[in-house]
Amino acid sequence: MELARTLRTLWSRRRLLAVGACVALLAALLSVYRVSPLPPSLESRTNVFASASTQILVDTPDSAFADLSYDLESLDVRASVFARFLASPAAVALIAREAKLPFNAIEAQGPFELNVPEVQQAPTAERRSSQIIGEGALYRLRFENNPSLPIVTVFAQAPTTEGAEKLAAAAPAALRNYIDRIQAEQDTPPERRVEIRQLGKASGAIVNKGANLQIATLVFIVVFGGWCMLLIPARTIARGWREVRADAEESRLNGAPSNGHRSGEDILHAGREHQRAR
Amino acid sequence: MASAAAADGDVRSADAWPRTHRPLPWLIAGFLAAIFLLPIDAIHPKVSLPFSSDFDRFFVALIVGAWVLGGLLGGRATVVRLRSRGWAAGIIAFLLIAVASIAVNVDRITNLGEWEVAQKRLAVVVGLAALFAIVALTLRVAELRPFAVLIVVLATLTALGTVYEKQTGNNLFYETSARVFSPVANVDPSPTEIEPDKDRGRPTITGPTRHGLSVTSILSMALPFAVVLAAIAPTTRRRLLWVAAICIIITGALVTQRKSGAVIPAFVLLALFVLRPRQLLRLAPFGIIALALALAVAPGVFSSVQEFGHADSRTSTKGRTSDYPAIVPDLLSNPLLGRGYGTLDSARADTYRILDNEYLGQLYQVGVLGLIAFLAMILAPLFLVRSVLRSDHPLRGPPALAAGAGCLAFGVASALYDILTFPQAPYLFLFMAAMCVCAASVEVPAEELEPEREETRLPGVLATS
Repeated sequence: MELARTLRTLWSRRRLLAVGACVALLAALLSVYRVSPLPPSLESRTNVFASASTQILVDTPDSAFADLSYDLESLDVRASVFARFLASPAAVALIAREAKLPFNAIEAQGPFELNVPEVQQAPTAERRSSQIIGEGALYRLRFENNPSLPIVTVFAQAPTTEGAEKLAAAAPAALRNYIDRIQAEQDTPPERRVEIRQLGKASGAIVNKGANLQIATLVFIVVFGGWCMLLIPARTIARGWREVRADAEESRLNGAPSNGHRSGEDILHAGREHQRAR
Repeated sequence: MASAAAADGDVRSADAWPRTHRPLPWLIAGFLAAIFLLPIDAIHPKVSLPFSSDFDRFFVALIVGAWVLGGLLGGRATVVRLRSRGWAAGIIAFLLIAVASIAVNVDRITNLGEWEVAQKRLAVVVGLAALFAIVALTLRVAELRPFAVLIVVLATLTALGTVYEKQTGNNLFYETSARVFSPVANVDPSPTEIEPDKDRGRPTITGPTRHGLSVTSILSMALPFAVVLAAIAPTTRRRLLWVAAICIIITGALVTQRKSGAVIPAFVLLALFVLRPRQLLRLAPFGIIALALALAVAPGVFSSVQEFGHADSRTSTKGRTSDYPAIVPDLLSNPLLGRGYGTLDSARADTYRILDNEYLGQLYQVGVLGLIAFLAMILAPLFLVRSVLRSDHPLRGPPALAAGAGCLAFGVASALYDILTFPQAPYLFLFMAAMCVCAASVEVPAEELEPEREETRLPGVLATS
């Protein structure tokens, strides 16, 4: 019954309701686009992002995996070191150069210890501080490494699929160039060199395709709902205002004092009195 | 009961649940039964939907659908219910701040891939608010006491099932649900971890929930209803029955071997004693006898009290205190509206901590404003119901006292773990909050309200049918 009454009240204010719909539409639009007055333009907010991944294999020049005589443990340790190095600012600078992106647009994280209790994984204040600083970066890298495998997994995030794939591919390329340079500087014999191989091409896709529509819908519902909620008390307040004026006018004519509108509590008590009287 | 209602003027008690054909009270009773007896967050219907399709969402959608249909197709109401000013202010404020916190942080939320989880949790809060509003609009004063009885019966069954789980290691709630719902839904395996003969550590006893703390909370929230019903029981036989229910519920809370199993019931009993000391004193002899019997028959039942001194307990306390400095950077970077409601994704252990305190969690997610709104949501029912808490009216006073104490139990439990992560306790809290709203309302026959007065009932009091 209350629902029907509410709908009827709203329908009686349909012009204001239409204004509310326009306001909600505008708010929804602003939630997914940036408006620029000069020159007039709509720029999409980056609510949608793509993700891509690839893997880096730390190997020997003649592929240790094809020869059972090789001990892989030393490669596992190197992979673990490289994974940590890749998240460092020095490596991010190399990756940024490789991907032709500004250094400060990239945030890199990892590798995280996966086989420890949650309490030990939980970030400390210091770690959170550095994470918060990088939260605004549109290009994000995350490195994962299983300590018992000579593989580093690269997860890249960017506003477009191409951007994510390019960023993911830049990590193994940057690491390979860096290691090659060190080996060249140290004059490491070719048979003792570490080989960085990318396992397959980085492949990516848009992750949250419908995010813009969902955000706009949510904003529209909330703003329009809020508008409707304001309309009903606004109507009641307006009516109350008219009644107070009418009461004051009446009391002025009759010469009796009046404080106008009865408060909700008065009505509540009146209801109780009424029931007691019955 | 009917005569008492007539004496007070609470009209239409004849059409009150359970003697009614109105579908909504029956649906609400069914939902209450689901909260206490089914692992609602572990039942996943075999349908593919674009949103989270847990069992409770379907039930809430069904209740909302029934309410909308009833509102649109129902005839003219014969009862007008006058509710106190701002009866829904707390939940509305919390909902608005939750949305605002997401809107303000939407760029960062989507960039960090947190939109999905935030969206799901927001949907849960919308569901909770809808349930609260519908229960508050639907319940009648004459229905409060039958619902109080229902809560005690359901809590007793939950407690018995939890004790059985502790004794045998079999979780009846999960096992039965898996069998019953197998044609239409998948049920997650029970999280119970216990081997009664060999187990030496703290077992995982969860009842129909996913965590021992959650089942402890719902039992503690139901406890005041049993206590109040025992206190007002007209005969000794009935009083003994309610005291037995109290003992079973407390045992159910204690066997989870969580500190909260002792802390929350203790707070509830203390609050009831402060509010109605004379009525509660009547139960003291029964309480002493029950305690002596429990100590004699099953001394192990109080093992959760011994938990205070255990190494596990000390680690837990250390974990809680380490949360405070760790979240300071986040609080300082978003003090007013937090990082966005629902973005605290505990599955990402490398980024977020599991905060064993809902107040801290809300401060982290929705900032200072959100925390104030969350507190307002918990305290608003107590504030609304204050005028009838000490009332001797059999239909209003006892249910109001019990529901108020239940809300207080939720407030205490919120300080002990992340209570909104598990759906049972929040649903039960909002049901009790709606009971408070109903207990504080006045029912008047529609025909006796002049049309003019019906039109001018606001501001302050909202009339509904």
